[in-house]
Amino acid sequence: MASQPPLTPGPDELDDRPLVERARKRDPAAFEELVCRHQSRIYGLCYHLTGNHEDANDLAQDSFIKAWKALPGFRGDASFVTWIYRIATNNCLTHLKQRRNSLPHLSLNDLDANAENDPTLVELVSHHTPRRDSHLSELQKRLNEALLKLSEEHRMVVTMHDVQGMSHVEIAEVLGCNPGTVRSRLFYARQQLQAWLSDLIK
Amino acid sequence: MSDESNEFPELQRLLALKRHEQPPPGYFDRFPIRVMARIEALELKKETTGWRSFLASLTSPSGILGFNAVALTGLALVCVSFFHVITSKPDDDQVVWAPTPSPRIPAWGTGRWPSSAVAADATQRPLSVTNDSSGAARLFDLPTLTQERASFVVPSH
Repeated sequence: MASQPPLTPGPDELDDRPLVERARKRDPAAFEELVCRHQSRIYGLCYHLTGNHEDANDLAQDSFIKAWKALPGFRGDASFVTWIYRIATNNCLTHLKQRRNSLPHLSLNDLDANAENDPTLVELVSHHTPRRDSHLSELQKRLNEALLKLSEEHRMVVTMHDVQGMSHVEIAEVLGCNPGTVRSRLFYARQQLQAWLSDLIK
Repeated sequence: MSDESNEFPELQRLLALKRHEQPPPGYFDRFPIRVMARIEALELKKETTGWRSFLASLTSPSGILGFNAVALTGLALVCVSFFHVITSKPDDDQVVWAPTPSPRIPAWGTGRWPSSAVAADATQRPLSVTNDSSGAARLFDLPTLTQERASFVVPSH
């Protein structure tokens, strides 16, 4: 999930449209290629919204299956990736509403190899404790707990913007609101997180 | 990427660390295969759903009742038809004969018809002519046609 490209494809990026057109005509190979292209993003969104690999796995798979079912009705008003993001977002929201009353179960995944070389992480971890591994895990836990304390709509904008690197306009397109709403939600969410993680942020 | 002013730089750096959280190794190699397998199963299920629902409707209590009702009605109709066929007699009055083709008499262009040709028409059906220029109105005016004695000159050798 490291450094994902923005949703709007640049001139050098692969165009989904020919694949989407073939997939609309029920070509499984074309749809599989679309899954390969966007699985990382969709899984990442589901993972950061649920904080759980098992749920993220189910939700990401369900999102692609719903997309396959709904593809004949896809008019192409938005890009395919925006459309699949909407499906995944709605999927996650439904799941989180069902899970709201139960205690969120965190099963945090291991950080990848690059994480240990990330200067921010190194600084944070070495600064607080000599037991680097245990602190790394503690940091992850604190971060995820703080994110899960946010409401779904605030967690969504933080995930899409600060974790996945999407622009305000792209997020607004996915969520069906205006960029101003995205900005205000983001500001509020960051304030909350800053307060909860003040001991980690200096 | 981000298109707004950075008011929480430290927090954003911290949140960016979440990008390092990865699923188990090889997860994204298997993911498309799993998705496509589920889609394939879904398509297969969709194809068999029609037949299954039909068979299920036949085996359900209401389905069995309905099937029996239809079968009994069909059997009753067959029996009634068979009984009707073996008990009915042919009635000549009700026989409708197929029309015989009208005789075609060539129009001779003079407006006069040989009596033998007219008398030969025993079917009493309208005549038709092959020459359209003779006029259809004359076809049904046979009684008023004048008859003339024909005279033949036999050349002597």
